[in-house]
Amino acid sequence: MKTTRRDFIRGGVSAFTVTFAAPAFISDLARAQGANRRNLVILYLSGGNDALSTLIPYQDSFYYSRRPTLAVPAGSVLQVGADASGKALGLHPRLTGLKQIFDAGHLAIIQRSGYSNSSRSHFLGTDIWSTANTTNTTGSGWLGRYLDQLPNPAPPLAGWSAVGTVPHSLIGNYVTAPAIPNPAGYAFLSPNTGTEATYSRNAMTSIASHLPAERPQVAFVAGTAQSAMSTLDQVAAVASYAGTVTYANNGLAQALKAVAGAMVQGIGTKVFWVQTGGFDTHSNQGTNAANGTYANNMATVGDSLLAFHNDMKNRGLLNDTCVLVFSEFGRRITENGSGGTDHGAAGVMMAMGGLVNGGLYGTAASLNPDPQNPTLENNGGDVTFETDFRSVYARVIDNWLGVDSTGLLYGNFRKSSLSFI
Amino acid sequence: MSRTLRIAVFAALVLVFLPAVPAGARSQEADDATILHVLNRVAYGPRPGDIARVRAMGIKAYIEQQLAPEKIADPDVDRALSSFETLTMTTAELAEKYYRPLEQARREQQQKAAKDDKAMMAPDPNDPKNLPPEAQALRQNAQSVLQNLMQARMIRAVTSERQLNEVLVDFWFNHFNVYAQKGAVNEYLNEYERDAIRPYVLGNFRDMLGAVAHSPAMLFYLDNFQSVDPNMSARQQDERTRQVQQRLNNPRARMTAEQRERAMTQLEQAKKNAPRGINENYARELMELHTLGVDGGYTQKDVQEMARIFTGWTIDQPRGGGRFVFKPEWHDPNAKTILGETISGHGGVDGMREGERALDILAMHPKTAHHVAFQLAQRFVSDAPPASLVDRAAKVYLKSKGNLREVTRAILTSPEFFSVEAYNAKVKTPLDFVVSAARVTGATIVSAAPLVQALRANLGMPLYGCQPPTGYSTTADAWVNTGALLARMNFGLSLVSNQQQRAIRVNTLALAPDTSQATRDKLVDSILAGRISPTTSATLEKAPNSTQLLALLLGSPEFQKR
Repeated sequence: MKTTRRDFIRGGVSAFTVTFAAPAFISDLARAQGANRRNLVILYLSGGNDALSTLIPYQDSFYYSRRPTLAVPAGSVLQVGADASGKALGLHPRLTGLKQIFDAGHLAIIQRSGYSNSSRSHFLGTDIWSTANTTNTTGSGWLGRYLDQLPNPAPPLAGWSAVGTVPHSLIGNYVTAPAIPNPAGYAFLSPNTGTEATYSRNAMTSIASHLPAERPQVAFVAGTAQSAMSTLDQVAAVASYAGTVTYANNGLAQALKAVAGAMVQGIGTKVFWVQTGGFDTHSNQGTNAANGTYANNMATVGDSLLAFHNDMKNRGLLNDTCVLVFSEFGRRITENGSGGTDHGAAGVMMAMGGLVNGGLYGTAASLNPDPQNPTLENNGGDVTFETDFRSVYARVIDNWLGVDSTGLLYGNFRKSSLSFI
Repeated sequence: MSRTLRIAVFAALVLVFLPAVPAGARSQEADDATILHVLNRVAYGPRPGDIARVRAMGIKAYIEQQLAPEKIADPDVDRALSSFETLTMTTAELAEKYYRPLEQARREQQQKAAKDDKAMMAPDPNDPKNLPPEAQALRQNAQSVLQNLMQARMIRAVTSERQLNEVLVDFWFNHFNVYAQKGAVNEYLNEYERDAIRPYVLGNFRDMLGAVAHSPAMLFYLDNFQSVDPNMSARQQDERTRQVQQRLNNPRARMTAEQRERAMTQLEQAKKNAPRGINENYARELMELHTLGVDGGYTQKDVQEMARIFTGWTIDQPRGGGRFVFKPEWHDPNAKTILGETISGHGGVDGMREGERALDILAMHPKTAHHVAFQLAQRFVSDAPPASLVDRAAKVYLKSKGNLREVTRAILTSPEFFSVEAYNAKVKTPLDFVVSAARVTGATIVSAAPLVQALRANLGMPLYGCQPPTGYSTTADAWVNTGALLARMNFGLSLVSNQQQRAIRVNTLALAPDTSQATRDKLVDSILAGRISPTTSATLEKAPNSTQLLALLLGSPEFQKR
């Protein structure tokens, strides 16, 4: 049963216990929360990442015939072995950072992830991945629902969006997360310090903690006034964090540095939302050019993740984080007329962390355009999904966050072969 | 912040549970609440004195006046914008004066870098830091074009008498979003907003749709300028290449070996980059975002057919400040079927008629009527607008053949618009907030740079800076959170404490000569039409000085809504 906010209020405590029924789940939750610094970091590649240029089937001759200008030469891919079906695969040559993580056994790559009848719309695709619902995309986000279930009151920084808006994924039925794109800018403009500053903040807090009765998730301050105030100091501590490695001066690397800072400071954030754009590569995709769009995207992703990985390792915190990487859809197999690729279907997901069981999961598609090819759809035009993205979510929810995934995902999407964490 | 405020705020917290007298419990409340509602939606909120002005002329007359912006004199805006010469320049003029000199300098720098150091360690010529000083100046010049456009947008939003027009320019630009940072789009932005959006916001939808379809900005942003008939023969494709080659081989060309080599390299590059098939980007967003909506019932096949229809709609010199051109030799001349309707194919210049026909079909489609009506109702009424209103506005759309003045009027005069549930039902976007704060404080703008900067840096809504074609979210969920509120409070404080007074000045003492009950009541009446929560009221009561009083008011939850 899906509990709406109205039901929640009407039912009071009894409605609450419906959600929190299973004793096993409560102990799981307690265990997961016992690890205070344990978190989930979503790295969202916005625009529809071309999965076939991330994880390259470099021995598939159709990959070259269907991508005459975009195919990456076999000699330059970063080989990661073969999957269960025997298909040889390699990472994009600019993913040297990711390759190091893979070699360390901390990167799981889940091939052909998606859902049936994949949407080619940025809007709808994003909403489907956000709500974990392929039929009704107007409801709450799956991570918001996770935050909803934290013991009340949830810490105000339980969720943290590192972009300027709150992504749909993080909007729950009862709570939302702050958008803090730049921790250094997250301070009340006040010349005061120490206890004196508390007074100025009190003004902010008292004025801001006025909750709209109908939709608490769109209140400006979630949680109690007291805890809202404490976020300022916590974020200030994050802003001053100096990593043990150098993070590049780009949005993604700096956002991951903030995540690292939050972990080191132990501010209790459970879910971070980090994203990087430029993946809607309809033209001049530049998979091979030194300064190509896609090549640069890959370098940014790989290098930023490596910096984060190494920083966490140096801090002894690598086992407390799990980064989940995905995009709203993959792209068409055959390149288009302008050196790019149009919106496609299944994509690739990745998970990174100290407790991640690294390796290749699932099998690659054959790119043979034969309409009978079972690994493709749309007349051989698109890669068809093998693993439902919600099965990946389920694994993370059950085994990492310690929550019953069937409740959060409105169904059982568990897939035992997905043993990446 | 002063010490007295700190004590006062502390006291306010202690007193927060004491009942506060609602400041607006006076006879004018109902009327003023309605007037404020109208000003919050039809305009970017009130300036000092606006509520009284609308009361005097009547709400109906005010809305009608705003629906006819061409009849409203706007001398302040005219004066303020007269110094921005770039606003009225054509794309070609801008290219000539601002963009080409910079490009030339960059090219020289690249060649120099290549010559200086053939090794891989050459400094990145695309990094502005590596440009020589004279090129730095050119770069700043080129950037000033976009800066002017951004500042002009803010000056108009804050000071224009044609408020509804400005609200709609933002709405329709966002509907037909393009992103300044993609390739050459920034070179076309100036003419895009001026010539494809502004003239039509209260005109006919088909006209705006057509102007956008023909605009180099959209053609570049959604890649249609590179979309060509996949069956186009190699000979035709190489036509231009051959011509260039011929020029090179002309003995009278008198080129040095080096120049010749460079030309050949460019030629090879151009050959490699030459488009070779359809690009679906524009065709898809044309249906999903611009017209039918995501649930508009079109299929992937429709997207591909639509892309074929628009093959040949391109830009003459896309990276050189060029203009729209239809290239018959790029156009797929075969018949196409979209949304169940067959469009016969045409060779030659007639091929362009197919695209016009497709735009006709899309513009008059009931799904488009519904999509446009829904979006406008969402902007003006509530995040989830009543279906009754959307259906009625969609009918007006179809009956008037896409007359946006009629559709807008239908919404602004509807009972749903004036229903009490609609009052304060919208959360301001960062843009709404910044503009309404500058208006309500009667700020004098010498330079709008601080407003532009605030939107870019801390409020997360840079002008012309939305990368995906979906545009910025206009609903509350995306914008409401603790982090956002903090940034808004900080903006409010910096505005009323005149931290950038050489650019923007607020006459704090004229607005709030003191912090007395009478002053507070007056402010709460004029800014919030008397509607204030006990919590906010109690906090304001303890404000120690005018600046803090105004800052707290701008940061209040009530002011985040419209």
